[in-house]
Amino acid sequence: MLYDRYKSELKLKKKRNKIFTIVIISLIVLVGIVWYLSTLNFEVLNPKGTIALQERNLIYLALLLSLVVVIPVFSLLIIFAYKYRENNPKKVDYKPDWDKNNLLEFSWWFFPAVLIAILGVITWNTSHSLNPFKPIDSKVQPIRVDVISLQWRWLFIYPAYKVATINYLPLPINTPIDFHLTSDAPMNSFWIPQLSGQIYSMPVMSTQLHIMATSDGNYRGLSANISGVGFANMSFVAAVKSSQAFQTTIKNISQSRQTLNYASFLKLAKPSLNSKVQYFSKVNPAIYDQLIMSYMTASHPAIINKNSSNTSIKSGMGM
Amino acid sequence: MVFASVLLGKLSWQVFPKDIVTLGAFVSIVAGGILVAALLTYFKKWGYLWREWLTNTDHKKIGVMYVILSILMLIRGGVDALMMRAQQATAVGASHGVLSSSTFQQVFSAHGTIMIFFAAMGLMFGIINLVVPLQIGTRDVAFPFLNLTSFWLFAAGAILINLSLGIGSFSAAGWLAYPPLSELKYSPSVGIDYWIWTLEIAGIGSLMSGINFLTTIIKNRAPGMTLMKMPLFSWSVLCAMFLVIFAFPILTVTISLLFLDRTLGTHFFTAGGGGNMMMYVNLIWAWGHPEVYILILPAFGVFSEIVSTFSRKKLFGYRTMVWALAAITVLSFSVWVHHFFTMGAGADVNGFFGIMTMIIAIPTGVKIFNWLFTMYKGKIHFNSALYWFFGFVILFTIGGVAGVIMAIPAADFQLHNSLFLVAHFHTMIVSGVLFGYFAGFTYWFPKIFGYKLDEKLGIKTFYLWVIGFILAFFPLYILGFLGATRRINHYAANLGWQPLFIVAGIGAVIIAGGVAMGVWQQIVSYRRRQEYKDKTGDPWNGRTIEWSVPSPAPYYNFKAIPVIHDRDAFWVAKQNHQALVSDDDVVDIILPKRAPVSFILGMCALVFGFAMIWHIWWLVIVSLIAFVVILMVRLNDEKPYEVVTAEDILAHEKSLKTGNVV
Amino acid sequence: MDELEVKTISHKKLLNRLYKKEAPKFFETASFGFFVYLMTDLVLFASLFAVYAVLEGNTFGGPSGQQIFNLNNVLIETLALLTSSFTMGLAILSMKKGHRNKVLLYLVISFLLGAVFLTIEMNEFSHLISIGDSWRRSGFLSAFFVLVGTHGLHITVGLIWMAIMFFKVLKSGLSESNARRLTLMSMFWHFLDIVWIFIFTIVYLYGVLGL
Repeated sequence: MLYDRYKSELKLKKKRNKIFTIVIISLIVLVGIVWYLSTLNFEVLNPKGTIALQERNLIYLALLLSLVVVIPVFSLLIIFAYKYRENNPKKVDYKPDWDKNNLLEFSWWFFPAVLIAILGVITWNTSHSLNPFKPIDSKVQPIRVDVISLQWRWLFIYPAYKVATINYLPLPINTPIDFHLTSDAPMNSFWIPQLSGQIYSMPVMSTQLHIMATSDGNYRGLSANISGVGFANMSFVAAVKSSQAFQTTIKNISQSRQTLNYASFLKLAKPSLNSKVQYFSKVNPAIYDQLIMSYMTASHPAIINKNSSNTSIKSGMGM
Repeated sequence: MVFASVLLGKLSWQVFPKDIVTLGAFVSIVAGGILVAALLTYFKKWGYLWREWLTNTDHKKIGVMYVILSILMLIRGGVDALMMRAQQATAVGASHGVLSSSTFQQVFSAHGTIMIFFAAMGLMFGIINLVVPLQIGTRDVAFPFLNLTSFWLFAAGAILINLSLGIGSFSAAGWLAYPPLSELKYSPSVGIDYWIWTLEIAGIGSLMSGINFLTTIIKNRAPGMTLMKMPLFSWSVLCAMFLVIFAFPILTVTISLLFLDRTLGTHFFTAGGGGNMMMYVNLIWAWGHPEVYILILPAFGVFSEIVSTFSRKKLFGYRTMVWALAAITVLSFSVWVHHFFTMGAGADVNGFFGIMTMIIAIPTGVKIFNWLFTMYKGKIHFNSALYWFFGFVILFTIGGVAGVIMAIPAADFQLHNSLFLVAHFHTMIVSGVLFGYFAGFTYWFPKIFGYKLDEKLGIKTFYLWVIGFILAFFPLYILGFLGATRRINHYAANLGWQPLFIVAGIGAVIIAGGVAMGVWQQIVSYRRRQEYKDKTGDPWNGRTIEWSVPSPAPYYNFKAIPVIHDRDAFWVAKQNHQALVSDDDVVDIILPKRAPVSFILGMCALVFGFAMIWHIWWLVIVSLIAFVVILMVRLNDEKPYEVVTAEDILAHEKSLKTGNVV
Repeated sequence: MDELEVKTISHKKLLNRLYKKEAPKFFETASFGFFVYLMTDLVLFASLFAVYAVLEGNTFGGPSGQQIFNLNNVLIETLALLTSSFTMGLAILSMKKGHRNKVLLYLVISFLLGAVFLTIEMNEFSHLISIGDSWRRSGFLSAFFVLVGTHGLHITVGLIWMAIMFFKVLKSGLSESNARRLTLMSMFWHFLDIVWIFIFTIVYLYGVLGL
């Protein structure tokens, strides 16, 4: 008797020990995970610009509102599965023919609909207030930057300063930036997660993105849409600086010996895996429009080659 | 030289793969094929295979062939997934990982294409073929010959996409091949053409199946089975087939136009020349979004059957379930723009499509609540099929939350094209579609094969899938918030992402273990088939009429077609201690003949696709003419039927009861 | 006769008897299925119309519809196709009355009118190609050629079908199965007529009027 009791107590103790070990190990793993995650930069959730901040808040809000549905679903699933299990020793109701209840059915059309109505209003409002085409309210004069995605790098043209860069995007702090985007490559998506959401850059088309950075630092920019073999290399640095530092940077760039007109642009636009930063001075600000126009009027080299057999190409470039 | 180019088109010795990974994959597929062929020859099974399976118009046999082929394709796509995980777990900083950039891009393009078109679609059509005629009380589908032909077109597509491993290369432009990347200028190799012709052939097969099953459900239901007495799985198939009919022609048109751009120099989607690439994106998603619902609606139907059966209770809110299905069907055509809010369509358009996307969440939520309240006051039997349902509810809800967040255009700007998006749609498709069909396969398996699957191994398979899934995809949600984009073959070391990618890789390996466990479950269950035998034909205490016939279901399905008075007709009959039909009702019937022509048509389509890809124009013409002529000869056969007499039926029923047939 | 042969013959008789009983149901199902197929074809054309609407203005320095469409020819095409649809209707009516020769006659007339339509269309196409305004010229022309050409391809299939049916009726008269096939074929032909009316209005008429 006594021995048996001792044995069962030992067993219990062993079991306790086992549980204890499992708890300790999971705690260590958990702490490890939290520590590891805390070393990472959650770029989408760590905004450094006005637009990215609003978008981050929107994500949180939507997540919170969704929980209103998630929590009942999870709890009902667990409660029902536990309570109405076949081998439940307790006697519970069994109503095999109960298959209708208008009030209940109405309620799960109605309450989710209310929730969606709230989310819908938020959706409508934010898709207008955070519309990438919409200029940012600010007293500061915006700066225009023309963005051209190439195979496989980014060209940034500052028309006002007549300078351009490859894969380096200096930006002044607290100043609205007015990006105009096109592409001389397959579709790309221009994205600086800490400053704002992304927008496609497409050949022939011109899209727009307005952002404003609120703290200085170097932020990662990239292409989020596949555009060929070198697409993963298309990352760049968006360097947000005080307006003085920005002006100095622009000045330095304008000292560059490399210049850029449409002819040299076409050479630059050839596919390359070289993602090194480059500076250009004396840049012809019309390159951007000229590029788009070239796709619309058959003057782009790629198109001319394709249609070379076509005799009537010279007639009316009616743009 | 000219002669060779006329004879062989673009084919030459250069087309064989140079990198070891692709070559190895191709060689192993060929070796597997040779092994199977050798075994068939050794056991002298060719004739059996040809007569009983490859040319058999019986919908159950076709369904089994669909399931086997799509499991093989699931494994092929799974190997692709493992390679992607291996690449992303290793290609950090100075290391460039195990795959070259172009191989990596082909791998993820093939993964997406195979998983959607061959694994998910195949499983769906497999289950539909196995179940729908039995569930609505008919002997076969409306057009059995067309059904087998659809299967062979599907198989031809599957063969074609695997040929790309060994001859030439596959598309490197993602599973939807957006132009201008997929145009000749940026993708001059045959990869995109493989993609196009694979989808053309398989897509037409799917379209034909859509027509076939819609007609079957509308026209061939048992007498008395009004639409509102039809089991919910058949309802969900009806809705999905409706979507197939309206969506697949758009796919056919879109990729045909892309083909014309690449081959005849048209300007539909080109950059310049008056093309419009945004139109492609719109068109492909006008098909693509309904496609998601095509895949998932029948899975919803499967869950409806399973929850009700294993809760031993009527399905809660049948009427609202049907309305929810109908609402999803209609709404699914009005949300496609949410796949490209970042294209700059403007605030009004984005806002509208964002709201429509959220509205579609309402009927989906309704279905979930109805399932939960089917369990309420039931007697829940925890079958492994029901485990898949629990996994589905949890994961699908999480994925749904991610979806609602991304439905807000302004939030989507930060999540689009990120790994958050990748995690979202994998959550929806794996937990919704795959879990649904695995559950359905477990549930209806005894009806087709006559024995049950091993429960314990089924549950182990489930846990491996769920744990593997969580490990593989939850890190991707986190990576999305870190700003990691999809389809990158390489990333900087200082970002610190590598541990997350390694965990995701471990998850993928565990899922592979789940697949292996599933295969093992098949082997074990087959070995113990006597022990697991379904003697009654009604192993789960079922509700719908497919459980009223013996297992395995006889080739004529019903000895006599029952007359339906109730929604859960078989359940009600059992409650009243009545049989649905008696031996006195048995009469002489006709059944469709075997159709070797279907197989030949499929092979013609395969040759046609291959010739199109490689610009072997004489072969294009020859295979096209062969296809048309063979089809016409078959259509000229006015009575492609054979007689099954009442005696035959009764004799077969008797043999099933005594167990002389396995 | 040995036993097997007897059995085969009796089986054949049984098959005929059972088939005859099921045939009306089979035909009803087939008609419905064919109608659903036509709906998918309609979606196909609707997609091509949408593509055309998007690309219509993208002439890329090439000609616009106004410059290349010849309404006179199109009018003849339209009349030919509408009339052939009408004669096809007459063929079905004669079929229902059991007038085999009339059916054959109307089939020939419908075929010839369809051939006239197709010839004019091919002429238009070859003319455009010869003056350098092929589908390679611009997005607009790509959309034009493919939309109208897809319809033309359907017409070609319809003509082949008609030829086959002509010989079938010639050979085995207005048998039940021939009658069914004729009915389906007329559905197909009327459908193509409807699609053409849209092409005529949206492509040619609006094009010439510059709408």
